[in-house]
Amino acid sequence: MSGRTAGSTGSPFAPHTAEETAAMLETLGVESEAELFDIPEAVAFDGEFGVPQRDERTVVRDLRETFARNDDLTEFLGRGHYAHYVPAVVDDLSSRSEFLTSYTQYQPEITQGFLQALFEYQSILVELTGLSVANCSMYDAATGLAEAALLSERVRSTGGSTVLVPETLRDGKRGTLDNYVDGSGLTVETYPYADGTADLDALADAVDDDTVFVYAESPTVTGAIEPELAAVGDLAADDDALFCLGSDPVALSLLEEPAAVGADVVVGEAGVLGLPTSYGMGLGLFACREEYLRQVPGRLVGAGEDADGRRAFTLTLQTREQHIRRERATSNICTNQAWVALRAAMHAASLGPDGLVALAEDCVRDAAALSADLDALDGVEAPLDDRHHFREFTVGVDDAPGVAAGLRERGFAVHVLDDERLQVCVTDLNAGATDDLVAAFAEVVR
Amino acid sequence: MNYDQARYGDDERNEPLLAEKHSVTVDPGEDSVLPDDLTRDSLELPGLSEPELSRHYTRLSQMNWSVESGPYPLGSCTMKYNPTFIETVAADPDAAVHPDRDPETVQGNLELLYGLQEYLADIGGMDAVTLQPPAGAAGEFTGITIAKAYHERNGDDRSEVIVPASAHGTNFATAAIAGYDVVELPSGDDGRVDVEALSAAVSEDTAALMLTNPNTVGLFERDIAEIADVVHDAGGLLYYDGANLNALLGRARPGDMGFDVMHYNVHKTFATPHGGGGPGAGPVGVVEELADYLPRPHVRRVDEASGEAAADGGALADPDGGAGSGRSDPGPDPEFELYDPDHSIGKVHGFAGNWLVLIKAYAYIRRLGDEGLLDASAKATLNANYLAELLELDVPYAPFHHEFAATAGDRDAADVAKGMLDYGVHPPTTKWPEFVDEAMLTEPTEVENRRSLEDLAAAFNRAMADSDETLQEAPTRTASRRVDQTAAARNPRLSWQALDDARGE
Repeated sequence: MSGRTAGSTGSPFAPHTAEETAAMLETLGVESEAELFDIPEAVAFDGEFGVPQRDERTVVRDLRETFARNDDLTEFLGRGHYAHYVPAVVDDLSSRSEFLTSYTQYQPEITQGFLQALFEYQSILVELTGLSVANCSMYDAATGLAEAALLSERVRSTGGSTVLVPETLRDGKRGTLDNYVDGSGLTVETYPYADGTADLDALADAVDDDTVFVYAESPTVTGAIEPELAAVGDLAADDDALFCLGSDPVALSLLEEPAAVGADVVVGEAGVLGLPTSYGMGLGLFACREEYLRQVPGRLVGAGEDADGRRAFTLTLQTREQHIRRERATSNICTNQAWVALRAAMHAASLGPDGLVALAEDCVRDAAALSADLDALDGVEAPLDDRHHFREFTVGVDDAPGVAAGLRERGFAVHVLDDERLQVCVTDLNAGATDDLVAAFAEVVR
Repeated sequence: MNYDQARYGDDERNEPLLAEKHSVTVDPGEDSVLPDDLTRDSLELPGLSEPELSRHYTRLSQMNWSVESGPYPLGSCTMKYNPTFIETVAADPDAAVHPDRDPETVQGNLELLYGLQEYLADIGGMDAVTLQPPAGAAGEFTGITIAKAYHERNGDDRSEVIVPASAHGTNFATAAIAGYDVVELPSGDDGRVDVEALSAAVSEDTAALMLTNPNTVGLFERDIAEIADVVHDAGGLLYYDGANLNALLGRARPGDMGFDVMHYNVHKTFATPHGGGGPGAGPVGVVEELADYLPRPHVRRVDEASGEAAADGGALADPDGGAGSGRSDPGPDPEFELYDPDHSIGKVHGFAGNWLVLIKAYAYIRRLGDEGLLDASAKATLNANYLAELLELDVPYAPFHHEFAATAGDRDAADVAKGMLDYGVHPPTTKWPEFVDEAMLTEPTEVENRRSLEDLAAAFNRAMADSDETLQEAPTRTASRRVDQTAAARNPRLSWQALDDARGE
């Protein structure tokens, strides 16, 4: 039976009437759809999944109930996943079905709108990084870092094979990196941090002619702004290694321009713009110097002309990609995060450069204010390093798990790093609750 | 049907770029509390008022084709209608939580993830499913990495992955990135895997065979049981590329065919929107023997961990058991927890994958239920067969299911596709797979009805009847005429900064 007939149980999104289905079957000379299938009996499935069909209202209600099982906590959480207020205009425009329900722009003539939006996204990243090439997206910061490391293997000028990353690198990034380089000739090693950022002396010892890739973050995973980025870049350059910087578009609007500190590649979490808090879903920023253009992973949109000589956009340099180059492709990526990139560009454009910089400045000021308030409490030290901070910082207490549990009872979520350290992240979304957080801290540590 | 796409712009270009409308330069360090050496000197970006911004993106959207515009029969892409209620569900603010929340405090998220793991395991005939891979290709990478870890743990040094010539390009690229030598298997004369050729290709070096079923011209690999035996007898694993799963919903399961590991493309099979190229999600299912290798962390029921539940992951705790009853009452103890599988391959994404996409897939499966899923594969296959019947093009390989490869014969398939753009439809995938001459790989999905299939067929037939001259001039009704992609690649200009005319007006 078809979906539109009352009482039918077919797919509600298959629009055939019973009469249409019958006529189509008759045209094909078969009695039922089942006759069209060429599945040997030995592997045919005639069981059931036991999933009842539900009407839309029921599904919506059920999922609302499911999500209501999440505790309503005010989150002061960061460490790689951040959200800022996303203007309603971004939700509204990005939800236009012409954007949302389209696909990769294999036919550029009929998909100029999305191509232009992605070209604009690339251009915004070019401005923020100072590097001349940005792709249409990787999945997230972790996969972007992994792809950047693989890029270093393809473009390296030396015989080296060592990828250097901070000892503080989050497991999500380190684990993803480890998997991606496992099939290459690269090995991952770490360099230590001192006082919240790269230990330059130790890094100088670690970098040698076997090093092909040095990765540094600013802000770091604990929110510290790296004070000596150019020195890190110099250390990498001295041994002809690629310098890859991890950051995000909000931080980049305020902090030193990556190109100015010698970055060859920039990766990071671009979903800080355009994405709400979404359980870790991301948007992988990937930008690099022009000389690596032919080795870039992922899609690129370029400008060209149409048959009338008018400007037009198109996916370009596709011979790098898996659907053309197969096992010699620069990456296996196909589906990416294009719609999130669209949202990020919309968000950036709606803020404008002054709004973006103001947001970034608040990330510095709010973190400083909150850490000062916490530091003023007996039994609390914040931050635990002597750096400037962006959004987040570490907090010292006697019993970190116990304090976090106490905060949770009072409606707050913070990171527990170990027995004596917490981490707290403040953005425009929770800045209004910092006084309450400080009060809760005061009660818990008392 | 005729079609005229919106075309905002002038003789030089379409809608101006954001930067061509209004650009602002600021000095970020000027009012910063940060010392001067930590801040950048200048930042030049577009700064548009909200009305300007709305108009800009509305115009861009009107210069973009989508599933909601009309048929979008890209073969192997499963461009089906994306129900709007799944957007409503994914926007639930209660679901907007941080990935580092204590699992006890996000039981709703874990309930959904667990439920989706179970649904997908049942649908694929697998024993365990990870939801972490953020796209199909990432799923392939996860699956092949699991196979690699499995062999390594068995002290089994294997260096090759076999991929049929007709496979998706991602299969080759995935195997290579995972460090394997790719062995290409030529297509048999009937468009399927040639079992003799496969037998000759497998060896003690074979880590896996990656296979799509139905294959890339829509044919079911009828010899799948024998194929599985050949691969397994050689000590290899059988990998299922889930791109074409829409054809089999409720009718056949990769696990029952002998596949050991598979990925699902939820943005294809389970109707989550393609978003202009992503995000998707590429969950990976495995048989029991591989379950300990899944990425960390994995979601399970607490009673599962303590051994109170029935054996075997698959049928445990059906998420539809009791449909909602008792679910709004979390009780004192958490029902779900995260754990690291014993031999986990580690991470394939920074966090838990594309969460918002996973919500949509779960909602879609609950909406359709068994009967809807079964009808989706029925109507997808009916539509492909009906459309092919209406085409004045040969379809050399049959019987096909949800998609078919027509041949444009002595016409250039890419030109025919450009001609179709003027007739109110998106053309199919062209010139792929390569073993079909001038291939037009067409997948109408279940969401077209008879009338729209007839429109689609008319677009094919009109374009095929057009003169070479007309086709080479096409398209004429789209926002841009034929784009010179060769010239664009020869002189790459990838940002407005790279355009001579981008700044100022």
